[in-house]
Formats: sequence, structure tokens, C-alpha cells
Amino acid sequence: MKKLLDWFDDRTGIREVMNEALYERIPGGARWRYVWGSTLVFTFFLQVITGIFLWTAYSPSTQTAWESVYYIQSQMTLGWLIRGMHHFAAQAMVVLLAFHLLQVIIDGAYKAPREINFWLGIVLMGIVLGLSLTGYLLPWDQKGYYATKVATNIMGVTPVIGTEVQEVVQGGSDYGHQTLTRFFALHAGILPGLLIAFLALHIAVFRRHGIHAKDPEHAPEAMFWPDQVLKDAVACLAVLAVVMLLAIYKGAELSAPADPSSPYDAARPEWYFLFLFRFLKFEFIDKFGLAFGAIYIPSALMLFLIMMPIIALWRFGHKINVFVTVILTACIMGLTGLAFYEDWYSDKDASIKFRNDVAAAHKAAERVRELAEAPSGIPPEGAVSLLRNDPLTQGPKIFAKRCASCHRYDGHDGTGELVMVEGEEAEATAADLGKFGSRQWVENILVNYDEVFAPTRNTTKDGVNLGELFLDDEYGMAGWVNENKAVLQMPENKEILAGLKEFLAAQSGREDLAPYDESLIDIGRDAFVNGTLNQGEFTTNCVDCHDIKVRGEEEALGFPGTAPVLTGYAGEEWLKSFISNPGTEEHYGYGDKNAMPAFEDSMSERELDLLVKWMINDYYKSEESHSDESVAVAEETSEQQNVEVENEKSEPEAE
Amino acid sequence: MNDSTPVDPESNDVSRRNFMTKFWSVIIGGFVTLTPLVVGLTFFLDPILRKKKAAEASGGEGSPGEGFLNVISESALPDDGRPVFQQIRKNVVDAWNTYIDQPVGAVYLRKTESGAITAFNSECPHLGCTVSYLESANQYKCPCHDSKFQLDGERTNQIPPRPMDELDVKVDDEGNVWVKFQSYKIGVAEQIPKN
Repeated sequence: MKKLLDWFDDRTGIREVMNEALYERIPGGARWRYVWGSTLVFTFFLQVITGIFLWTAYSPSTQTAWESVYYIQSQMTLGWLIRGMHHFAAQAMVVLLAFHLLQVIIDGAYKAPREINFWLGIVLMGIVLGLSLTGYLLPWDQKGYYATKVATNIMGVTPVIGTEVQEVVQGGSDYGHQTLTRFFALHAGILPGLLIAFLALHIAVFRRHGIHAKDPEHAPEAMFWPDQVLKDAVACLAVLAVVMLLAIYKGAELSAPADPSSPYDAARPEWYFLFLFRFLKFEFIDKFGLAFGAIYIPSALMLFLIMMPIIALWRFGHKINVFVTVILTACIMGLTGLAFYEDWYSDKDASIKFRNDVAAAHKAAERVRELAEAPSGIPPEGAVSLLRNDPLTQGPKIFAKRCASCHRYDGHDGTGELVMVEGEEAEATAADLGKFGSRQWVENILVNYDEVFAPTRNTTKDGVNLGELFLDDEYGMAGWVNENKAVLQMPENKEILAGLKEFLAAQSGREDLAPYDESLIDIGRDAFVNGTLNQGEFTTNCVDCHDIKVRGEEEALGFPGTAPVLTGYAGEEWLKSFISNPGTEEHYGYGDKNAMPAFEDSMSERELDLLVKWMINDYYKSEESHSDESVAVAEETSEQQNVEVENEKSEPEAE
Repeated sequence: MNDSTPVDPESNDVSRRNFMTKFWSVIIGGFVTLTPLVVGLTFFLDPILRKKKAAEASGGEGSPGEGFLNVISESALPDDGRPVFQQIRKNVVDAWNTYIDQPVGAVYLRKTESGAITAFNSECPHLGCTVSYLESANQYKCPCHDSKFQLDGERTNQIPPRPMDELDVKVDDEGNVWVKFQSYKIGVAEQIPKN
């Protein structure tokens, strides 16, 4: 064994190298305060290892980046763990870097003759921050996409060369494939290469001057090996433990795939850049323009950092450096805390909106995962199309944009937000469509007509109160309900009412209302057509006004032209036809009650399809969500997002 | 190293302490270095580990009906026993992507004298070219290296290492022919399923 070592040493001089590496003198003995540098080298090692393995599965393009990360995260063996480690070790690196820097400043280790090494350290810090910035974009999720956009837009306001720098970094005037390939090359090739080069210099220069002993009399002199090595190893173990615990119990987030057409309002930079983010939000900073706050001020701080060894030449220089550093650290921590507080605890409108946006983003992220796990999987055009073509995702947005100026959906605008006009909750002027077409809806129409259409009293049509047209028309549905609701609500006619609900709901042919009770449908049909009741009688039968071709029957019943045709009522075709043109003969065209605009020209077929499919709950549901009734889920989430809705909700849905 | 002769309890203590320090440095240092490597290597071995997992989950034989594809209607197969070439399409999953309705291969389907339906993978077991049906000779012949097979898939020369790969066939009540499409490893005598 010894011979072999001798032979090897003779050829390589390994012993000398090892001796030099391990037997570094540490005046004052091994100390915990010297571990920061080693933990940084360790986290970098961790990043290189986990990064290279992630590299084996990552695919940088706008159609595959999110998808491959999703695949790593949720399908590949231990993928979630390796990604979590990489994610949290990156953050650990920034924290350790801050500790290392603070310790160097406070101990005065940056002073002559170690200035050069201090500057090398600052270069390393820049590289680490660059790695973190480029890494944040790579999953190509909403969070990373919109946060990084802010960073590259800041580059764009750099004086003189801004636009060019931004375009070179992005690989064009906007984000795309080339942004990812460039960021990936920077993140996995150029920056780590530079880091290794500068780290080698940093350590070489460090070894030349030896450790800056804070207090050489602290303890007897010791050697790097094994005294300091053990302390370093224990510190690295602690870092690894924290990283692993975070990776296991918190996990790296993957929000919905980046979608340039769907703004992400909850975008925030990584938490260690939050102070800068918050700083830029100050009005007095904003006044000076983005370049001032985002470029000049940070540059000035960097310049101060660089100047520290020179300032320290002056008698009180070191004290000033420490003083300014402490103040700056306090400011950074204060701003970070403020940003956190405002986002997560403040009651300001902007904060509530942020939290709603985050909740919506989480919902979208969960939804896209559900869709990606569906048998149809992720199509080649990428996962972003899953959400774009998903009624559950798009329907509420379309409703909010196109319908919620008059209608409500369970009291909100479809997405869970209240409808606000100039800071006040706006009055609805049309029915709440949250349960449209359901058995409950039918019951409300039959016995609570006044309440369903109460919002129409808040608006006018051609100078006449719309509510008067709807609710005070004794020859219309309102009149019928007034005359017949008492009969319908008799205990003896309980089954009849249930039958009518079943019969009308069944006309839609909707699967979300299934299963239908055939015997109830028959009872309902009989009541609808012949007015068969157990007790009392209708003033007028339904078919005396409403035309209908009962589902599954050939012949149409009733009289056209006096009231809306109920063929296929509240089903997909009916809804599409109604929304396209509610004023036609078969809908509201028989009278002049219609105040709803026709959407056939202003709404694309795609939009209409997504909206209607959402309203009738026709979209992919996984086994799990299927079992607990998607309607209930949708309601619950909207309630979580906006608890106030529940309280302020008007009562049309009351049981 | 052999200077343990002087009986100095303190120095003995120091050297033992020194040994423990070295011991723990190596243990902890090794642990923190190996942990990411082990996690990473496990991740890298995903293709093998996942295959094992999938095999365990499916429990060997698939349930009847599973993996069968509706390829053709029974009436489209001639009664005289001539084979019909039919492309096989199915959804193909490549890592994160699902490609809907992609061509994945082809089969020869044929109604035998007894009325049963047989299906052969059109891939030649020799080197994987697509076998042709020669109507004149009423047999299969591979255009690449002249492998020849009878209509029942048996070899008529020794070029291919095994007969053509026969596939499971089912006919449902509506007369649809379902085939459990499967490719096998090329160039070996045994039938070894791919993937």
C-alpha cells in the first residue's frame, strides 16, 4: 500500500498538494465563525451535482421547459427531491453568502492585504445572484416568467446600452425559445464556469494570506485538518439538513405554465430580491424613474462595497464601513419584512388582491396538473394549451369579462371576485347564474321568480324599469308564479314540484345534473303538459304558453310565440343559441322584455364554447374531483378566496 | 507514528481526540458529499426504476381487453385467407408529451380456413424491415434480406432467427377486430417484448 502511494506520489506530488491543502495554520484555533466559506463551497458543490442531474432531464424551449420540469417533479424517481434540493440550496447559497460577507466586513477581513480577495468575493456574489436570476426563469412557469420579465425590463432601462443588453440577453425583443436557451447556457455553462474560475482565484489568494484570525490569542494555534474540517463538515451537514427538510416538507413550487396572454398579477421576485422590489415601489423613488431606483442606487451600493478596503485605510474607515453595513442590512431586512407584511398580512386592497391572485395562481397550477395527468396528457404544443382550452379555467374569466357587468355567479363575477365599480360593490341588473339550469334554479323560477329577477329592478330598458317589464307583468311568468306558487308549494304537491324540476332539468340533457329520475320526469311531464296535480290546479298550464319538444320525443307540444321555447332548456345548444341571440322568436323575442345584448358578433365561437361548457360543468375532471361534485369544489374555492361574498350575497339562492 | 513510548496521559488524550476529529470529519464529510450523489444517481436511473415499478403495478399479465386496439372490421378480411396489411395507430407517450393517434407499426391480418383471425406484426424478426406479402407465392417475404415466411408465420428459410411475431386477436360482438399490438426485440431467437 505504502509502495503504491510512494509510486503515485513520485509521479504526481500528491502528498505535497494534500499537505498544502490540509495543513493550513489557523492562529487562534478552529472556530465556528470560519465555516461560512466552506459551507458556500459545499452548497456550490450541491448545486453542481443536483444541477447536472436536472440537466439530464430538462429541455429548454417554450413548449418543453415547463413540461420537462413537471415531468421531473411529478413523474421521475426522486425528481421532486432533486429539484427541491436544487431550489432550496440556491436560496441557502444566497443566505450563506450574506453571512460570509457580513462576517468578513465585521471582522475586518477585507482590509489590506486582502482587498483583492474581497473584490474577487464581490465578483463571486454577482455570479451567484446571476445564477439565481437565470435559474428562476428556467421552469418557464407563470411565477418565473413574469418575475424575470421585470428583471430584464430593468436591464432595458440601463442608460445608453439598455435596449441592446436586454435584446441580447432575451435573444430578441420578447421572450421565447431563445430566451430559454440563452438563460440555460448562462445558468448551466457560462456562470458556473466563471464561478469555478473565480472561486479558484478566491481560494488561492485566501491561502496566500492565510485566514484572517479574529483573535489569535483565542486558543492555541490549530491546523485546518482536522480541527477546522470537522467544524466545516458539521456546518455543511446542518446546511444539507435544512435544504433536505425544506425540499421534503415544503418542496419547490411549479406554478402554471407561462402564458404571455394571461398576466400573472402575483408575480414576485425571489424573496431575497424582495427588498429591491419593495424599494422600487416607494413613490419618491418611483418619481426619479426606474433607472434611478433599479440601477443607480444598487450600483452606488456596489460601489460602496468595492470601496470598503480603500475607505478602511482611513482612521475611522473600518468603523464607518461596519456602521453603513449594519444600517444597510437593517434597511434590507426591514424592506423585506415590509414587503412580506404587505403581501400576506395587510388589509389593504392591493394586499387582498395579491392574496387572491396567489390563490388563483395555485388553483391554475393544480388544474394544469390535473389536466396533464388526464389520459389525453400534454399535447406537443405544450401544457399552456391545456389551460387555454379548459372551460373550468377560461369560463370564469369570460364570464367576468362579458357577463358580470349585469349577471353574477353565486354573488361574484365568476372568478371569485366581487364586481366593483369605483370602489363600491356594483349592483347586479340581471339574474345570478351560479346555479343556472339546475333543479334548484328551476324551483326558484317556479316559486321565487321575484327573487331571481329582482336585480332587473336596478336597470331600465328604453326608459322603462326592466323590473316592471319582468316582474309586474301579470300576463307573464311573474303573474303565473304569483297565482300558482301557493298551489305548487302545498305539501300534497311536493312530488309534483320535484317532478317539474326533474323534467325541466332533464330537458338540458346535461351530464352534470345526471342521474335523472325517470318516474319523477314522467310526473313532471304530466304536470307540465296536462296540469296534473295532487291538489288544486294551475291557472294556466305550462304548455299553454311554452313551446317544447320534449327530449326523446318527436312531436312538439305547446304554442310557439307566446313565451320562450323550452326545448333543450339550459343545455349546451340552448345556452349557445340564447347567448348568441337572446332576442330571437324562440327566446325572448315574443315580447319586449329582452335587455340582454346578442353576443353572436362580439363573442368568438371558441369563447362561447368555453363559457357554456363551464356553465354546464362539461370539462375534464379527475377521479378524485369527480367524486366530490365539481360544483361544490368550485364554490368552495371561490368562498375561500372571497369570504365576504358569502355574507354580502343577496338571497336569490335561498332555500 | 511509533512514538507512543513516553507515557504522557495528556498527549495520549490529544491523539485520541485528534483521531476522533479525523474520524468524524471523514464520516460527516463523506455523508454530505454522497447524499446528493446518491439522490442524483437514483434520479438518473429513473428509466430502469420506473420500468420495475410499472411492471409491479400491472402485476404481470394485463386484464383481458387491456391494450387491445380496434384495427379493422371482420368483414374487411377476405374469406379466401389472403392477408390484409393494416397500419396500427395509437396514442404515443414520450416522457411528458402525449401524441394522439400516431402510427406505431403495422400488422398482417388474415382469416384462416377455420374462420379464426390471426395477426402478425409486420416487422421482420431478422432486422426489423417491414415484411411484404407476395401474392404470387402466397407467402411473406422481407425485401431487405429475403427472409421468407408462410402465411401461418413459420419460417421457410433460416435467415430470420424466429417465426413472425403473432399477436393476440379478439373479435367483439359487432365484428370489430381487436389486436393487442406488441413489438419484440429484433434479431434474437426468443420473443422478448420491447418496452
